[in-house]
Amino acid sequence: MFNNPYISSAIRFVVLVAVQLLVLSRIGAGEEWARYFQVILYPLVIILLPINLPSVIVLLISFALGMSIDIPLGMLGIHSSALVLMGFARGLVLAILEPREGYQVDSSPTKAAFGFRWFISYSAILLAIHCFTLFAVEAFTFVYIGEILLRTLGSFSVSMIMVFLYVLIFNPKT
Amino acid sequence: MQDLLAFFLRFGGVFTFVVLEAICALLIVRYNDSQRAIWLHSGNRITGSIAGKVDEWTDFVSLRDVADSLAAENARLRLQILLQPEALPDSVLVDRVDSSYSLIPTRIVRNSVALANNTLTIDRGSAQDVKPRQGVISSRSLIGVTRSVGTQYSEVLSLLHSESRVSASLVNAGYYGLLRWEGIEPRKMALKEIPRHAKLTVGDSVVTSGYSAIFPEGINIGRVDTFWLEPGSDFYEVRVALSHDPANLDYGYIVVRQPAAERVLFEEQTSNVQ
Repeated sequence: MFNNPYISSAIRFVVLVAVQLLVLSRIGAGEEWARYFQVILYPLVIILLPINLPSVIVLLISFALGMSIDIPLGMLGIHSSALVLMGFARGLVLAILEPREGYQVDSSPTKAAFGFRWFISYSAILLAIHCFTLFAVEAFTFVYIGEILLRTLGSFSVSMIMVFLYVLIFNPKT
Repeated sequence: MQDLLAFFLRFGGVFTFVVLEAICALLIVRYNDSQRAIWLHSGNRITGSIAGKVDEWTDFVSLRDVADSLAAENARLRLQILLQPEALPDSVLVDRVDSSYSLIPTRIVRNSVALANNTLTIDRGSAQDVKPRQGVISSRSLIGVTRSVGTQYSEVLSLLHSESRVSASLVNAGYYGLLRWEGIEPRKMALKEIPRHAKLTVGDSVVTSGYSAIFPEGINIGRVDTFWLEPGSDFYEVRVALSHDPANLDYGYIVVRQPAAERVLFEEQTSNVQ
């Protein structure tokens, strides 16, 4: 069952949204430092989608994922816009990081398929894009660009550690 | 239909991206208070600054019209001063009034001060009833006298011309003399024929005497700058500083005297005093 990329992606969608809303988004709730160290794990759903999935579908899933975070948090459109941008960037990043022999049909962008280094650079680029866009959209102005960059840096670091752990523990094949 | 769907799945990425981001932007601005406040605020700022720029530009474009209408209004007000000297007893512009003068506002389109014989061009001509040998004044001093008149433009013999002669009087000393330019400094005129028994003071106002029909009596020219007696001479050498800078003239007024044609003609034939 877990060898089917669509089923595992669907399960990942539900589980990661639940973990994000019930656990990760509540870490340090109300504390000032929590603004600078948000753990953001849900982009893994988009990051791990099968490579040959049409970009239109990727974008629609990104929007749906964003809305399922936005609606419970009462921040309509904010996570969605950042995720849709990341979903759009995913195609470009995959094209840039394409191995010399190309991607195989039906492969997923995982550590298991392309190695640890490849997966870290791939997921780091997308996560950085998502963090920066998220905090920029949240501020909705570049007047506070310093704070936007600080929050991006802090949250990207702790989130990237979580992505490491996730990949080391679960080592998803699809 | 299936082909269309396949085509869209393959190439609709950018389109879907734009549509979804537009929906997100709409949701953000619609449902998030702080972001909506920023949006509305910057919206106002942008439209406000555009409106300001448009306003500045239209102001700039209409400057010429504004200046022309102000010049016309100035001419009207200046004429009122000319006609009502009692209302302004301290005015040095005019002592006594001749109601037969009127003023035409004009722009000075060409000017020179560096030559020995300087002339100006004004943008009024026979179409506005300008005639040769009419005085041209600025708001503070004299400019010159019209010489040749075209339909839309006229040439003005500048005060700074070797042939210019203006009859001028000293307000406090009470003597009349002949004002001419010695061709040196653009702001300094020589006042001749002030007798040595006159009591001169530096700073005394110099105004037109009214001894010619070209300029009405009492129009301000300048002030006495220096004066001295040449040894053996019965007349002072007086230097008069003009009240305006002849090199910096934008607008002037043509002095029109309606019934004096005969007097101008007569003086033209008998003397060269302007």
